[in-house]
Order: sequence, then structure tokens, then C-alpha cells
Amino acid sequence: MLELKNINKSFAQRKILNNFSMIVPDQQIVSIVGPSGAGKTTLLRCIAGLERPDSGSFLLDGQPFDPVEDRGSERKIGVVFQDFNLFPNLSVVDNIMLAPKMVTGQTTKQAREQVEPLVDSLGLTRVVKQYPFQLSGGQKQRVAIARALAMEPAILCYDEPTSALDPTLRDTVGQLILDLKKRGITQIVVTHDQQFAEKIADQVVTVKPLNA
Amino acid sequence: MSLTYVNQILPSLFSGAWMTIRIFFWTLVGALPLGVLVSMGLRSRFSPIRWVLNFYVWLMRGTPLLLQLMFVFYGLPDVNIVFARYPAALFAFILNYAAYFAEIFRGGFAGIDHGQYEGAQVLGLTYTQTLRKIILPQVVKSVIPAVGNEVINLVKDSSLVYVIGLGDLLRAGNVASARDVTLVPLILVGIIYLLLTLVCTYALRGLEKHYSYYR
Repeated sequence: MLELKNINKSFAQRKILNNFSMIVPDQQIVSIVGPSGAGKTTLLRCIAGLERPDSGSFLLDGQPFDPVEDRGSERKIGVVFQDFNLFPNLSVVDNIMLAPKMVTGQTTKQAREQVEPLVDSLGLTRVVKQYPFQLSGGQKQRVAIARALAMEPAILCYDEPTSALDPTLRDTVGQLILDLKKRGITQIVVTHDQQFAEKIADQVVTVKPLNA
Repeated sequence: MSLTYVNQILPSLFSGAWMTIRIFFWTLVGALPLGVLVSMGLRSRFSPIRWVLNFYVWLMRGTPLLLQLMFVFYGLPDVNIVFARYPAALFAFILNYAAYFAEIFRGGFAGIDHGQYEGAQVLGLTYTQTLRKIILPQVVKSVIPAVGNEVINLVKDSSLVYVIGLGDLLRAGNVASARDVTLVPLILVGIIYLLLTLVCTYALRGLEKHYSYYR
């Protein structure tokens, strides 16, 4: 369970997050919705350790937790970025195996064995040798998900998972997120799509832009 | 252009060409890694490092390489730094070319989407791992055409070493041309330069092709 308590964040005097608190229970999907500029992505970046909040605290399973110091093989938070940030110079399987090899220190053989079921379950078996530029948007997203899951994060975060996909894929990714929930993965989904959020989430948290 | 004459002067031209190739090769070996390091320093958060390196780049790009060669060989002995001719040439060439390479690599680094660093960070990779596995391979791919230009330039710039008395290809041709009062040696010199740059051109194309497996 992840708890956020009174998170504050400003950029150049503009307040983005004001005493924001929420609870993400284990094996649930929490969706964060709101219009552009409401601070959804900033919130996600704080949880992912890509921004340091000005104040506030995080608790993971009751223990104090600093996302910015969340490093190495013990890293707790996985992220699927809006435009995926796949590594163009690596094949699909190398994208997925990079962190298990470099961070966890697995051999190529160990990593291959570990990621194989993951690759299978996400329907990526046929494209493992391809490079990101050869993939469709939906495939890229599944690679990004596999890459994050290969590090077995406690929580998987998504930034706008529907925005880079064509509308017909919206339901597919929704189903995928629900499937991952069945496998016991705790997920945080940032989206501007209220309908999508309500469809997949156990809990919808709405953020509003703050008036400066 | 009698064949006997050509055969007579070719050995001296080849020995000059060998000097040209040595300077070319060792300058690349020294200047490419140094250029990468300087380009990283140019992006440092620590402003004195940036200031010093920007000054270095300005100095190297802002004065003629010919002047730098003369300065290293004839000027530095005044402050008790004495180089023999060949090391002096390499020293000046490496410092000069590293500055150009640094600017090229700086552009290459700037062209990498910040999301690549973040993608690596959230997987738990260290900064060094990120550079080695993700950033540098992409930078290298993106700078090949610009670096290639400098590489071709270097083949020809190496002829400047005559000023400190080194016997390179052009000098060998010049000597023969003046001695025998004929342009034949200089024509041969031109042809040898063309062959050298042709080899470079093909090597660079090969390198571009090698990296074309992704976009």
C-alpha cells in the first residue's frame, strides 16, 4: 500500500500540487483524472521519483519511502511513459532485459528465462527481435509495460496510457490493465479520460487546476 | 609522365604518405575520446568547468591550426615544454580536433530526448550505465556524418605539419617537384590524397550502414 501525505509542489511560484493526499491499496487500480494542467503528470513524476516534492511524505507498506532515492534492484516504482521512452538502439527483447541484466545483475540466459513468460503473456513473442521503430503504438506500449514489469515493481504507473493510441485500442489497453490487476499488480493510471478511468479503476481521484 | 620517373619517386611519396597516415590515425585515436569527454564537460552543471572548456574550444577553433603547430613546437620551449617534431604535431592536432569533435558531440548529446534518461532512471539504471548502453550509442549514430566531415578534413590538414619540418606526403611531393622541375609529383600527391579520402569515405559509409539497423 502506498500512501501520499500532504504533497506540495510548485514550479516557479506556480503551485501545482497543494497538500495532496491519497492511498493506493495493494492490487488495486487507482486512476488520477483531471484536465490538462491540473498536475496529474507532476503527481506521477513525484511518485516515480523524477521530481522531488517541496514537502509532504510517502509511506510504502507503512514505511517512510523516498521515491527520489528509489534506486537500483530494490526499486519499487515502475513507469509506463506517455510516449513510452523505449530505447531505439535496442531490440524489443533487449529493451526488456536491459534492467534485469544491468541492475539486477542477471546473465543473459537468466534474464531471457525470466522475461519469456512476460513477453508471451503480453503477446510480444513475434516481435522480440524487432526494433521500436518497427512497432505499432500498441506494441510499443506493451513493450514498455513488459520492460517495467521485468523489474517486478511494487506499483506500476501509467502516464496517459490511451493518448498515444488510436481510439480502438483504448479498450484493449483497458483490458490489459485489468488483466494485470488479476495477476496482483498494483497500478496507478493518470488519464484525462474520465470514462476510461471509471471503467478500469477501483478508485478515481480527481485533481483540479489550482488558481494561482 | 614517364613510368620510370614515377617509379623513382613513388617510394619517397609513400614514405611521406605513411607520415600522413600516422598523424591521421593517432589524431583520431586521441581526439575522439577527448572530444567526448570535453563535450560532457561542456554540459556540466559546474559552471567553472563549462567556462574553462568553452575557452579551450574558442581558442582552438578561433586560431589557425598552422599557428597552433608553430606555437607548440617553437613557442612552448620558451616555457621549458619541449616536444620533438612528431609528438608536437600530434599534440597540436589532437587538441585542435578534440575541440571540433567536442562541439559535434555536444550537439549529439543535446539531440537525445530527455525521456531516454528518465526511461533508464525508472528502471534503476545508474547514470554511467545509461550513458554507456543508451545515450552514447545513439549519440555516435547521430554524429557520424558531422564527424565524417572532420575526418576527411584531417586527411588534408595533416599536410600542415610541414611547418615544423615533418616530412609528410605533400612535402615529399613538393621536394621532388622542386628538385626535378616537374608537376608530376604533385599530381601523384593529389591522387594519393584522393585515394586516402576515398578509403575514409567508404569506411564512414560502412559505419553509417552498421548503425542503420534502427532509427
